[in-house]
Amino acid sequence: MRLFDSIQTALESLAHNTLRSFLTALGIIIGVASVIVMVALGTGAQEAVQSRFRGLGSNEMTISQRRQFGFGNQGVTSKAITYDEAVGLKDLPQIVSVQASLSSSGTVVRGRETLESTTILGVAADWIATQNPGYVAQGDFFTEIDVEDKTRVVVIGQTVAKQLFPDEDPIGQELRINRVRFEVIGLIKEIDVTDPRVDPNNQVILPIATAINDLFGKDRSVSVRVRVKDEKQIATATEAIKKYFRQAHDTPEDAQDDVEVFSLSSVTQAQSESAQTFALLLIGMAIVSLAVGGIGIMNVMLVSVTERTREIGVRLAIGARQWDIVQQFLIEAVALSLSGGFIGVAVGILVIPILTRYRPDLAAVLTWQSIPQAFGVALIVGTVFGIYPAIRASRLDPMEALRYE
Amino acid sequence: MSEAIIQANELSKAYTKGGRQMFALRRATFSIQQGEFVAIMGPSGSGKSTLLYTLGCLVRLTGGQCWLAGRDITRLSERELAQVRNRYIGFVFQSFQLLPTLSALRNVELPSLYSQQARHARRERAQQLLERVGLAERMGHRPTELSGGEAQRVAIARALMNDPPLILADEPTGNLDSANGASVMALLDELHAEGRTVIIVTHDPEIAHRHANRILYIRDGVLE
Repeated sequence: MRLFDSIQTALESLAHNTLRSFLTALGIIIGVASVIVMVALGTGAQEAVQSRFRGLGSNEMTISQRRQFGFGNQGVTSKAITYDEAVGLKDLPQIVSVQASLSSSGTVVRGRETLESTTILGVAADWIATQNPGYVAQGDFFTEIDVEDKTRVVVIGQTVAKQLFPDEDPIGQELRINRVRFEVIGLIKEIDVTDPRVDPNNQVILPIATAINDLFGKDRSVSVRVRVKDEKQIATATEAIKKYFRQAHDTPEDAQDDVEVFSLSSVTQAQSESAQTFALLLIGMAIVSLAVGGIGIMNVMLVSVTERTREIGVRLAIGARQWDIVQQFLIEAVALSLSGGFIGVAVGILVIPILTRYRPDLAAVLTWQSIPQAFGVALIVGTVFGIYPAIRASRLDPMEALRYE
Repeated sequence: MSEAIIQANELSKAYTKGGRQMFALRRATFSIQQGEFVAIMGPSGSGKSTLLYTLGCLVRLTGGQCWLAGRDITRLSERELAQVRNRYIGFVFQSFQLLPTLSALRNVELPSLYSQQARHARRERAQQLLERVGLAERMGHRPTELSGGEAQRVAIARALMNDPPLILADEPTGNLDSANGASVMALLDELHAEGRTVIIVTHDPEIAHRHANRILYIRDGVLE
């Protein structure tokens, strides 16, 4: 039998029993759709992690207060990193530069205008050197003297400017953060939005010493980014930093460090480990769900072989070879699972935007490679689970089959 | 009548039932000439259908040799047997055995699917055959929409699709009333008149005597 005729015969037979065909393919539909969605969620999570650490150079490290999670002692039990301690890191021989910052979210007010969830970032004056030229579009960034004197000045983002100073020049104007008055001295250029959940233009930047003194208090831990001379010193610098803070905090010998030190290599290592775990989980889930779908197909194909025993007998009697029968039933199984794969991909693609609309915290990024992969897997499932019923059909005794009631 | 289309030599078909060996066919030796009309008769369970299906290459023999159109079918592979069934034999069954999901036309076309004929050629041939059996108006109908007599005429058209020299009919009138039975037998007579060899299994001595040149009697698997 020609392949084209076989395909036509198989499709006609499936179309003859539409509801049953659909229900049979349902397992594959659900399996493929969930794999597409899971891959999208995994990719999204990975991209979110990557974007957090993007810009961290290979000879840079971040230091933050260790957070403890668990039953009974939830939250922070370690001592905070103070600004002075952070500045003191400069004395370590491996360290070239130190950048301390403090960030939080707060409400910015001017007269009756209020802007919420604004990022409030306290940094040192040399922070601006880490940004591209032209970062401050108008006015100036604050100076070291501002930091030393704890001057109440801010540099504001475009969203803040548009909301609070809609039709005027914001430079020289006043605004309040947590009831403290600040003078606007600079305006940041428009920053491209890369993550729809966070508006990078809704931020104010102020001298870190001012932030500690007037807004956050001394107990708030600062985050520190340090740079070492070269990559090879990461390990020794990590040890030196930990030792520095143990001394500064009088940490008992049996207690854990108060700080956590990250470098790009430790982040990428952890990231690739979690990506591997996730991939394994995904493969496991895909195997289970598609095996369930495949068993569904095999079941229905076996029932179909029994129901169509006489048809098989007739086909053998008029000249079908055993291979023709195998081909016919195998194509039916593969067609079932491929159409299941097709619908599953469509369902997955439809579900992803719905999911991210209702749960914006879940980043889901559709990867186009997952679509041919899903089809490939559906093809394999159809073949693997279709082969046994097909062979069984072809081995029927023609005379018995013709007399089957 | 010239050469033998079938030469059977000590055909045996044994099977085991309840631990005992039984014979559906025991050392049957006979020959059938090309162009003959042969009826096989015998009581129920005597082995007449087994004999017919053996000649139709649907039963694997346990003993003997059988030449069909010059080839020993006991030595052919599964693939070769399928080819013999497809090219040399047309089957007609008591219960018609049409595929319920296909139209009359598609049912008739079926044997040509396995001989890889071109699409338009087989459609044309199937239409001609349905016209010949008087069903030009019923081509698009499914078997459930046809009467018994019509269904059996579709089945005969299907048997003729690949123009086989041998027609094997298993109780072709068994499910039909006498008028429809007569028209089916008239069709078989026509095929015989064209030079085809026709072998039918029947219970009905009147049919056997009226249509066949020769009758083979079988009882308990043994030809009498």
